[in-house]
Amino acid sequence: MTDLAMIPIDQPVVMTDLNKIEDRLRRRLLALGFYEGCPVVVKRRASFHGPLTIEQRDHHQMIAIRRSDAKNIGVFLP
Amino acid sequence: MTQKIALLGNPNTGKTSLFNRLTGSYAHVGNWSGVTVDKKVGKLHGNRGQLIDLPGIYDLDPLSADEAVVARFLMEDSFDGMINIIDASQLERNLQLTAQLLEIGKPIQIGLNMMDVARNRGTTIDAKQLATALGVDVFPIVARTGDGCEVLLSSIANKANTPLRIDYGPETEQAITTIIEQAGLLENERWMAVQYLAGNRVFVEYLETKAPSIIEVRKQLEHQLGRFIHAHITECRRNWAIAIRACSVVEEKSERKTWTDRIDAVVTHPILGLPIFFAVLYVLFHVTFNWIGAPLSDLLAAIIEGPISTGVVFILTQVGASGFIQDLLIDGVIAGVGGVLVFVPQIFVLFFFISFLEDSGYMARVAIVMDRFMQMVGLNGKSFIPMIIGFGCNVPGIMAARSVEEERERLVTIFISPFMSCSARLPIYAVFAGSFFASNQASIVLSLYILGIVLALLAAKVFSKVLAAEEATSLFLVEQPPYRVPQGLTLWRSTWQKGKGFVRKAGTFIFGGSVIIWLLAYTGPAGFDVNMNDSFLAMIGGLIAMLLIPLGFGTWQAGAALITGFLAKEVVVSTMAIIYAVNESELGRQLSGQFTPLSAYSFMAFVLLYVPCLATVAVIRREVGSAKWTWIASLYGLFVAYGISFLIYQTGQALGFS
Repeated sequence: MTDLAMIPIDQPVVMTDLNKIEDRLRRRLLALGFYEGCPVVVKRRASFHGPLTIEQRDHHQMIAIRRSDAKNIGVFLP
Repeated sequence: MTQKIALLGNPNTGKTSLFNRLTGSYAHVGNWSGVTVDKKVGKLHGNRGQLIDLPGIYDLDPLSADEAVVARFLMEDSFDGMINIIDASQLERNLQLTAQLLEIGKPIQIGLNMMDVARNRGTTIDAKQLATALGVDVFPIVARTGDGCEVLLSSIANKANTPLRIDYGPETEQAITTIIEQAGLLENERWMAVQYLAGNRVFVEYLETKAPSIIEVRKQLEHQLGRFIHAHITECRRNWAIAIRACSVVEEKSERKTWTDRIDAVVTHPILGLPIFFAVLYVLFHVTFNWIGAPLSDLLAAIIEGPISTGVVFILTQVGASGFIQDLLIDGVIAGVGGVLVFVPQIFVLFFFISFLEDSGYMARVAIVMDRFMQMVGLNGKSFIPMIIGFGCNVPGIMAARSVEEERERLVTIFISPFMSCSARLPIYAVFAGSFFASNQASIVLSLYILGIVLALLAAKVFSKVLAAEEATSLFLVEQPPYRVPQGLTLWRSTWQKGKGFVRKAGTFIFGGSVIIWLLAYTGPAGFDVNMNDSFLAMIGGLIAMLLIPLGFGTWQAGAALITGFLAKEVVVSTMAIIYAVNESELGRQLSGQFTPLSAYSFMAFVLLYVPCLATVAVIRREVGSAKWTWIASLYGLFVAYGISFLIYQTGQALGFS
């Protein structure tokens, strides 16, 4: 178990914990198809600890979230 | 028969494109989430009823002001049917919203859009099988070109639809039944109970005031499930969507590296992302001013000053019009309106580029690139999208702030929007930069845009501090759509839609303003046809001229132009053209007697910042909903403008510039 902000770019991981993030962000993530157990990959990281671009590998949904939020998302390296 | 059909779907799935197709409207479209922020009603072709375009939503639970528009519509308005637009390339996610719409049980049809994008990714969907699985009509459409759109309307309202029932598991089903009983819901209102349990804030408020006892039901269920109810409900819907997908997706093959990945690798590059963004802005202004816009504007100026002016003079003398009428038309209307109209080509070029950025998908990337900087001033990367829209016109920019979820951030975005240098300021820059900084126009103008951005960010910092009463949490999640090549027709339409307003203003506000300004310059306490220095206009402008001396332009002419500029910023140019009673190409030469390069720059900075135009104040009032904040938002710029122009002029002088 580690968090999403720690994962190297292009390393496939599975989201395991969405309990620590803020309620509205969790709702948005769920609505966009990011749930506990879904496969994701970090595509890019903006400079100065800026947002991370994340892709849901099942349906290639791409989103950007803040690094501070990514720190609170638990992931598992398969 | 007048039926009301609502258009619903995820953000950026092509609802507005379809709306434009079916109603012959030209509403604003783009390739980012949150283009549509308000409901729009259009008449269907052939008098078949009304189509209502709504902002895109991921879920019926509203997290932002534009999404609340949808929730309120579903609760309060009556409608006969729904058209749900689905993005075929994101089927599963889109189906989660479809599930919620099907639960409502109103007649519904589905338009399956973006099949081409899906196919490029190796997914082919069988619309017939999807229709069978969902039990409603599904039509493949291409909203951008209009293929298949007309068919959508053929059978809609006649089809009754039984509400979809997803099995949410024994505990949740038990809770749903209890809530329906306790809140006295009808049999076909099961969906409200489901929305309530999922935590939809609209229904939480509505049902808990009706039956406070249901709070216990919800708490108990959460305890039983041992997790967030909405996570559980979403999972049930997802499983439903996966099952539907499984029986309608024909073919799937793994994808190659897409163009979107390649472009993103460059434009959101950790180091190059920001320089690229500024380079894009610079190219935009360079093309607008130096390469395309300026030559076209010169051409138009030559036509207005040449054939048109001489033509009007000729006609007027032929019909024997009085000297007063001749002067009014030539020195008032043609100078005032013509002085602004010559900038139409430049403004259209600017709008073309903004439309291009919106339609390509780059806007969502700008949000990433700018987020860190925006966070430093208490804002959100998403706020930068309304700010760029504001470069075209502040009014839609302020509206676009609705897609910013956090109310505090939305307000701050609105407050700083007037500092975004809109297209109406552009004629002023063109005249002044053209006369005083001819060799590096684009850089001078870009410096003003950047001055606006920097001051906006500083102002944001201050406003964020003032407004940060509660614990400031911020929601940042921006969907990154695949890039697409903007379509010629769509681009032209968006450009025309935005530019049209400018032309219309020239025919109304600026026309009326020009007549009044000319009359004020023509009359004075001594009567008619006075020396302009003794006119009413000189008196009005003289009132504030004293105050403007430290800024480098303490003349009544500048004062009068600034006062009238509140109507619309272009009026500043109209007023000057009337005052100096010359056409646009000579205006520059006349101005060089009154301004120095330094005071010209100080004047441009003042015009950029001093006060939002009338239309902007009106939209601020509507979006902020408070008279006090409207006053503050409209007037703080005056102090900022004074301070900045003072600094520019005094520092410049101290450094020996003139």
